[in-house]
This record gives sequence, C-alpha cells and structure tokens, in this order.
Amino acid sequence: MKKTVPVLVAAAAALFILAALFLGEPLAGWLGIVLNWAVITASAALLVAIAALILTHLRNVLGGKRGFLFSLILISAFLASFIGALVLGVDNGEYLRWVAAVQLPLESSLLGLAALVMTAAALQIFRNRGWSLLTISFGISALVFLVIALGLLQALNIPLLTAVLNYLQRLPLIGARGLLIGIGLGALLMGLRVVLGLERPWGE
Amino acid sequence: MSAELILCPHCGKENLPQATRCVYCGEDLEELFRIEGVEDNTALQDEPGISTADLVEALRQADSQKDEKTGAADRNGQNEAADSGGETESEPPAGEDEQTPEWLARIRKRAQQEEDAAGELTRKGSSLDTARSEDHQGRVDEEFASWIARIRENARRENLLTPKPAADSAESEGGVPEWLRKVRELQPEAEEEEPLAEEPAPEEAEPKEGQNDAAEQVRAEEGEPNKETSPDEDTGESESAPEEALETEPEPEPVREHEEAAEEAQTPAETPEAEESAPAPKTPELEPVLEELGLAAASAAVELEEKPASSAELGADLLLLRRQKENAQILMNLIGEEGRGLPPAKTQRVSGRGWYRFILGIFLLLVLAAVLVFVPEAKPGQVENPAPAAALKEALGRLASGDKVLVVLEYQAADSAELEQITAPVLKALQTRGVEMQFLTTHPNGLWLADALMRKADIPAHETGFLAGGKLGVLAAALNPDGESALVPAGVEKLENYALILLLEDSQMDIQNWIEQAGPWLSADKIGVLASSQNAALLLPYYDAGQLAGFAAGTTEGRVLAQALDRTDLPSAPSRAFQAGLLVMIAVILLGVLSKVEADSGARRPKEPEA
Repeated sequence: MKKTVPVLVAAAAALFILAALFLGEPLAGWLGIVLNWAVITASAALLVAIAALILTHLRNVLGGKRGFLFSLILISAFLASFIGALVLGVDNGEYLRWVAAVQLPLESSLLGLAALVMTAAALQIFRNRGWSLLTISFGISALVFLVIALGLLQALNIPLLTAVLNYLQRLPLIGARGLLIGIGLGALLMGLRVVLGLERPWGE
Repeated sequence: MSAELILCPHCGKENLPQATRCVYCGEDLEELFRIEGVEDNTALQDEPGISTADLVEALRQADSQKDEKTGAADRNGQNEAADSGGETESEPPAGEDEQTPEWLARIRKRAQQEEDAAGELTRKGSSLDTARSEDHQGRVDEEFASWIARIRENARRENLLTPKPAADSAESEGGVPEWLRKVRELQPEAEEEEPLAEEPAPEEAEPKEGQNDAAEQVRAEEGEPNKETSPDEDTGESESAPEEALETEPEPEPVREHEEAAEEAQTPAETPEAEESAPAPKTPELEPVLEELGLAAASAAVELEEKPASSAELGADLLLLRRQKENAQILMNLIGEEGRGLPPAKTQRVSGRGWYRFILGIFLLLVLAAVLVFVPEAKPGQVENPAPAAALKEALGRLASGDKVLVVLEYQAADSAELEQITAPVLKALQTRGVEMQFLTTHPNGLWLADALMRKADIPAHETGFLAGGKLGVLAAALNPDGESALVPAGVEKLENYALILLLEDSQMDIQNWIEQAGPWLSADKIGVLASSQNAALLLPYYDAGQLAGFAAGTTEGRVLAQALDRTDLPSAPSRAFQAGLLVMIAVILLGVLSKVEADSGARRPKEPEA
C-alpha cells in the first residue's frame, strides 16, 4: 500500500498534465487547480525541509559538535531574515536593501572564487593530463572563444574577419543542440519511468 | 592411511585423524587433535626442534606423495600405488561396486583426498596456533612466511622462463659455473659464515647433454638414488649436477633443508617416474618429525629428493626468487604505509630557471595592463550584432506606445552588473516610447534587484510581482485565462496579452522553464531574452527553432543593441572588467601551456646523457 499509492498518484498526475497539454483549453481550468495543489504541497514540503535544516543545526549547537559556530551563524541569519520579513514585509525598501547589502558581496565573492578555481584548473590541465586530443582541443577552443569574447576583433570591422567570427560563434550551436537533445531525452525517459512506476524519486 | 582414519561418533563416517569436526555432519570429534600414530601430542611441544613449519611441511609431503602415487598409477595403468605403500587409499574401496572401473575409483578417491587436504591443512594450522609458545611465535611466523613464499615460487616454476641453453652459460671465468655464482650472490651470508668445504671441479659441474638421458634411464631402472650418481654421469637435463653442487655449497643447515623439503613437496608431479624408481634419502631433520607423526611407514616411499634442475633454469629460478623477495618487501612496505599521510611532495627545483617563469609572468601582466590601458574599447558602431540580437532589436522596434511588455527578472546578484548594463538602455528606450511595462520575478532576490535596475535605467519605479512555484508557477501564469489564478500575482494578465515577454536571465534552467512551460501556450515571437554572455550558446538552438523572438547575450551585444535603439550605453566599467577577466584567463591558459612545455623539456634533459 505504501508503495502503490504514491506510484498511482504520480502516474495519474503525470497523465493528467500530459492530457491537459495536448487538449489545451478544455482542461486548462482543471490544470490550474491541480497546479494549485502541487504548489501548496511543494510549499509545505519546503517548510518541512527548512524545519529539518534548522533542527539539525540547532542540535549541532546544543550538542557542541565540531563546527557548531557555522550552525550558529546559519540559524542567526535565518532568524534575522525570517523575522525581518515578517515584521517589515517582503516589499519593504529598507529590508530589501539590507538583504541586498549582504547577498550581493557574498554572491559576487562566490562567483569570483568559481572563476579562480576554473583558472587554476586551466593552468593545471596540461600538466596533469599531458598532451592529448582533449587537452589540446580544450586549449585551442578556449583561447579562440576568449579572444572572440574580448570584442577587439569585431571592432576591426574587416568584412572577411567578421564573417569568420560569425561562423565561429555559431559553432557552439552544435554542442548546445546536442546537449539540449540529451537533456530532453533524459527528461522524457525519466518521466516515463515515473509514470510507469519504475522510478520512485520520492524514495521507498 | 585410511586404516588410521577415525570414525565420527555421531554419523559414523570416516574422517581424517587431524579433523576437529566431522566433515559430514559438522559435529565435534572426540579427539580434538590427534596426529597419526601419536597418542599424546604433548610430545610435539616437548620437542624443541620441531616447528610448525616442519609439521605442516611433513603433512603436505605426505599428501603430495599420495597424489603422486595415484597419478603415476593412472598413467602407467598399473596398480603400483597399492603395492608400494600398502595404503588403502590407492586401492579400490572394498564396499564399492565391483563393476566400477578402477581408474574411476581412483579419481573419486583422489578428489576426496584433495578436498580433505585443503581443509586439513587449515585445521592443522589453526590447531597448532593455539599450541604456540610466545617465545617461538615470531620465529615460527617468519619460517612459515618463508615456506609459503618458496612453495609459491616452485608452483610458478613451470610457467615461467623457458630454459636457456646450458652449454654457453654453464661455465664461466675461474671454472666456477654460472649457477654457482648466482647461488653465491643470493647467499652471501652463507659464504661468509662457512668457507667452501669443497669446490666442485668444473668438469663435475658441467652438464653433459649427451649422456644425460641414458644415465637417467639406467638410474631409473636400477632404482638407484640420484644422490649416488657421479656428477660426471649427470647432465643438465637430468639436473642432478646442480643438486650435487648444492650439497657441496655450505648453507645454514636448517633453513636449507627446509627449502629442499619444500621444493620436493612441489616437484614430484614433474618427474614421477624418476622418483618412483629412485627412493630419495630423507632429510635428517624431518626424520624424527615424521616418526613422531607416525608417517615413517608412509614416508618410506616418500621421495625427498629435490627435483634436479639445469643450471640455467636454476639460475633463472634463483633470480626470480630474489625478484619475488624484493616484490614482497615492497608490498610489505606499502602495507605498512597504509593509512599514513602522504609525504610532502619533493619537487626538484632546477636552479636558474626561476627567472624564466618570473619574466614570463611579468611579460603577461604587462601585456594585460597595456591592453586595458592603451587599447581603445570597441565602438558599438563598429560592431555588427549577430542575427539573434538583430532580431531582438527588430522585435523591440515593433513595440508601440501602449503595448504591454512583461519584464521578468531571473538573475542572481552576482550577475547584476552585467545584466543591468545590458538591460538598462533597453528599458529606458521602452519607457521613452511609452511602452507599458510590468515587472515580475520568480526569485525572491529579484524584488530588490528590480529596484536597483529601475534606478540604473532611470525609469519610474514599478511594482514587482513575485511569482512563486518556479516551474509550476510559470505554467500557472501561462494557463491563467482570466487573470484570477491564486498563484499569479495581482495585476499580471494572461501572458498572451503581452506584446513581448522580456526575460532577463543568467541561468539556462530558468530560460528553459519559460520556453518549455509557457512557450506552448503562447504565440510565436512572444519571448525575447537579454542574457549573460555564457548563455549565448544554449540560446542559439531555441532561436533557430523559432521559439525566441531574439536574444542579446553579453555586454558587447548589449551595447550594440543600445546603440541601435538610439540609447547611449552605460559607463563601461563592467565591460572593461569583463575584458580584464578574459585576458587573465587567456594569460593563464598560455602559462599552463608554457609550463607543460618546460616540464617536458626538463624531463627530457636527464635522459640525454643516457642516450
């Protein structure tokens, strides 16, 4: 029973969504209702996940586990954001500026770190992997597209060069299209597995 | 030997005397550990000269002898095994069907013996482990490890190196055979401890190929032990000459005898006929052990003679043995190092090459600074936008006063600088034309990012709606027929009513959400995208498929788009920073290539003297 009911619910929901997409307007109203249920359920699940997260870190703090200071920071930030939004409202300008003042430098730092990591990886790839088809093609393509992205060559305004650059800029279309096809096929197969009950993303 | 089998008191079936549990019913046997012919095993503990390795080897020899006899009898088609030992194992079982062929009975018997032998050895080892004294434990372990290594080496002997011609390598300078020199190399401590008692004459050690087969045949027919054969009559193939020389070579006696016994335990299957006809002398060390174990009668037919080997083969084996010892030592070291931290990497810095890297790094930094300072920024008028950006410009140009445009913010704070530089001129142009704009976001931080964007674009503040639910929310907004859905913020109309939905994106997933969830419910050319530069490649397929009205990705295209809309682009600080980042990446990749080239040249340099 525990296994059957979720499978049936998932399969019914999936089939209904598919039918609504194919039939369009006749089922649009019902689809809106089902979407409301789904969003409410997902929101409740998100609340449960947040509660579990906070409880876990609260246990870390109370138990004095290693790294409990980070847990303390997390709980403090959560409470400050939560209480601030409850008291001032999510549309309050002061509250939004306060959040922006924290979030903007943090995200920028994170992105900068990612750029540094990628830079270090680019530096090491030839040493670690040696000369191979992969590394050589990586190096050439990276250099070509970095130079193109600089925009300096486009500024020269040479017709032949511009045509070549336009051709090169469309080359990623090949890889992107393959990537999207792969994503689409994977999503299709996963959806079929869920509908048929072969895949249970909600766990056993 | 089956006459000495014990009967299980529980099931009544026969078991080996050393068995502690019945192999048929698994019940404990009454006699915990009884060795054949020995009533009291305390004698083993009283005997100081007997080690565990001796016992194990003696028992293994007994099994090997049984196997050898059975195999020889099978080959000859005679019942020799029954005659020689008188053991009942080689005889057909009395109770068995007489119609069963003798060879089949032997095969069955042998299979049973081999099964028992495997478990027997383990049981003996585990039983004797309890009887070990702590004083002797280390020595016993060491000897046992040595035995196992040698036994394995002998087992591999057949599959390893092919024998080399003995004629060329049998003798070398000073009349000392090559195999003897290798023995001395491998046993230097033995030479130091005891001087050579007898130096074999070169002619004694030199094998003679032509005489070997005949002499071996005569010996086999006469039943004469190889030990008594003169070395002159032996040849390399009969391989008794090396043994003779080995006997003259002084060695640590106990170890050497154990080694010979271990090799003998492995070799009988190789030369069964010779060993049958030539009973070998028993090792003196093992005689009391065998007698104590009750194996004296059985061992009368046991041939303890070492398998003769040619000098070349013996030399190869000895070298192989040394290699195996080295490998074993390496393995032991690795096991010992397991779990420990890695030692700090010892990088060998070549002196005099630091300046090379330093100058290279300085040069790259100078080039970077020169590009940023002296190279003028590309003028938008000089750049021709690609087709998607041109298409977006046309879509924006079609908007007239009163048209509704839904601006959807779906970017993170870290990308806000780039997106604001692209979007602000467009928003300003739309505001100037009198286009009615509504702002929507699916990210919570879009609420305050929208405020910053409006200020940057210098347009009046608009209320920004928050569309919750992510992908589901987008679908709900697309399905919102009457604008009354609880999920869609107030004021947001049916998506089809908007002339253009302008997505401000830095994430491919968010773009996909809109194209895949809302796209099917919208007419073509409703969605335009202003994105960060890294999304350009993944947006191209959607544009080619006609799912997008157009897109502009990156600051360069954004500036060209602003120029086309008759707007002046924003101050170009993010654009210069973007260029600086790109230049740093280019410099780093070049450094990686040069570093690899330098490492390769450094690796080739030490090899040059060898070449």
